[in-house]
Amino acid sequence: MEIFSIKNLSFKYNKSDSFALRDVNLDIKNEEILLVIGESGCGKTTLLRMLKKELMPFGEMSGEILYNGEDIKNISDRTSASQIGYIFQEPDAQIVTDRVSSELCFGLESLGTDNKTMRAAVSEFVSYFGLSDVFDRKTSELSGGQKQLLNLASVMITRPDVIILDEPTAQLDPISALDFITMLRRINSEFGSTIIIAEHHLSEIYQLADRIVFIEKGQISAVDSPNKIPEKLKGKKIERTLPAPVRVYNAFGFDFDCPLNCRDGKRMIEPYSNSHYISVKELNKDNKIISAKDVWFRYERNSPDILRSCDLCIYKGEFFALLGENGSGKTTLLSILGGFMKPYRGKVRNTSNKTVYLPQNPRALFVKETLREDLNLIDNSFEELSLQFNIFHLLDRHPYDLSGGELQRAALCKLMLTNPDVLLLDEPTKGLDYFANRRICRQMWTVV
Amino acid sequence: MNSFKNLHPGFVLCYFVFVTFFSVFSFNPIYLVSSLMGALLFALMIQGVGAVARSIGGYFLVFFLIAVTNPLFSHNGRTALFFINDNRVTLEAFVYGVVLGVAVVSVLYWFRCFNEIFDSERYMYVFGRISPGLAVAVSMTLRFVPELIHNFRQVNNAQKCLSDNRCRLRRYISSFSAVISQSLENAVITSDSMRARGYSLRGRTSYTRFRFSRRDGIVLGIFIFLAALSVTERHSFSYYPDFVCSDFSLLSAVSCVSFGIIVLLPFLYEVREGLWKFSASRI
Repeated sequence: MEIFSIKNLSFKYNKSDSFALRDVNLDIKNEEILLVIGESGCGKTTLLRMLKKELMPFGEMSGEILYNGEDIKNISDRTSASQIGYIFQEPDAQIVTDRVSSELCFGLESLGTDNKTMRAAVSEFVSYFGLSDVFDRKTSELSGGQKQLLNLASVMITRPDVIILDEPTAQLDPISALDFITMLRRINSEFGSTIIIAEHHLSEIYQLADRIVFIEKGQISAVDSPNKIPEKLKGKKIERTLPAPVRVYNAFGFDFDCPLNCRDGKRMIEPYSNSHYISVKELNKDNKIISAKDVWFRYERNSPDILRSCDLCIYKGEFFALLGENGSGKTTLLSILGGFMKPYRGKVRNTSNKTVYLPQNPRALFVKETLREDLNLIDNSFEELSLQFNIFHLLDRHPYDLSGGELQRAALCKLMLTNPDVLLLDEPTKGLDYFANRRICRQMWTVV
Repeated sequence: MNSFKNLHPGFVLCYFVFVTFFSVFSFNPIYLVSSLMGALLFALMIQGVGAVARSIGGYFLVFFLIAVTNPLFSHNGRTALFFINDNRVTLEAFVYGVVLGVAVVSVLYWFRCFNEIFDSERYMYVFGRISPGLAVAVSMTLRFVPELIHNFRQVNNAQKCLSDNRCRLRRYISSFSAVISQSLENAVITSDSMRARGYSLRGRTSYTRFRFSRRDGIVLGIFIFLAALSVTERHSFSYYPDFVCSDFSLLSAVSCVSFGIIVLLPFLYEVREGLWKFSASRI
């Protein structure tokens, strides 16, 4: 039985010449996990929003969308609110209230549920989502992963039949993203909710999906199961974002069923791996540029230590990656290396002339109405560099109108204008799709 | 030592409103002194001796200012104590000032206790009862302001390492405008998220974890009974031009005593809960 059936759907945004969606035909089955993939701006978000009545974008639409056999425009507000859940990319902005408890109940309150039922639902979902420790907290105190879990819980609490998720893990660290995806799998198998999800980071969700839809320039170009679709994506850009085992399979065409996880991938390549090796380039360890010795740091006098006896040495021309779980002190260490915060014990030596810092949220670097004005603040010879960073065509845009990748490139460009010796980047690839990610990485290599 | 907090917020609110209004508007030294004592005892119970002792200096200053300034500005009253620039400073005005001071200080202490007990969750309950929509609006505001400050710090720090630090004001202004546009951007998503979860539907309710239990009912019953007794024949006292104290009748004495019990209610409740806990610990 189809929960949604989309027939000949075309859509054009107001003030736009080209179609955002063209001739989309798709049946979404009850209780399936449907993964929607495609490059940024291919129409994924538009398609997902068309499935939720309240969020339908304005524009010219033709064709029809049926929800349980009824035109989606005709279903009642109440049905749409309670049966179709929608989760956005930004964990923070979609939280409405200040407390976890009230956020959780927001949907039930809207539906006019009485207090007794609400209490029962709350206690059920709080323990299901493992939120009992944070139930009394303020929403602002939660981590990104907890926030997104809370968003999922506050949508699930009305027991929707469908949950639509628009890149829900894009802003999360890999561990929280895995937790989130695991929770989705549980919801699907225990509540039987249909899940429609758009994602860029495919390594976790890929193997869970029942079917995968590939959208290209507003058109569906392939729909198939996870182990069949790779062949249809051969030679396309999107192929490179597939999980590693699938990519290896596609590239070498092993005589094997398409592996979806590392275990099967390992089995597939085992016969070949014995005779092939990878070599690593040695680093020239002559010039120290930043060194930290026995650094201790805490934010307040009575708070716990964030860094304890931390030693670190970074050499000139080195590409140094700092790995660690959320809350392990990565950002703190970066700020100390950059000299924005002082350790209470230990020494940091920074012999560079200029050290710059790219914060996790690159928006923080921009304060003007256009990118041009912003870059002009630093240096007026910015045009050449902006060409190099491929943001020349964006110079007259407002910094906040840029996509994640564009903004990140612009931020890097702005920092490079100051002629730094050391570039401290705080999670620069967070929230970017694979291609933007690659571009940033390549850009960073050229800088080095 | 804060069992009173666990009573239903509706009752707690009624209690505080009654106690403050009654003691202020009676303007009777008997009620006021008992109200002050009750408030002090309550504050001691919930905040501990240290915090209350530290606060006493400030409150005494308030009391002192009122007690001294009233006779300087009000020259009513029959008994002149002395003259300043041909203005009479009267005993009645002085006593009135003292009483006014006690009234203000006792109200301040009641508010202090109220603040301690009535946290944002209880406020949200009250707003939710008035209108569920109002509760959402208040809750959104409570979230928005700290978020704005947090974002401002972030932007400001990032700007610090970019621009020269000489013109701090200019940096603040540009950071602030950046934060505002960031918030507007987020508001679009927030409103989408609200609509997606049916904010526009009619008949909104408000979630609360408070239940009106039997215990609340009993305490409320006792409170209403005592309140009715203390209101029926209030003992009156006037200051100008002469002290006039109405005669004590049986009813007005009962009124004084029942008001005394009302202000001690948090204490008595605590004692009862303590005893119950004591008996529970013997099990």
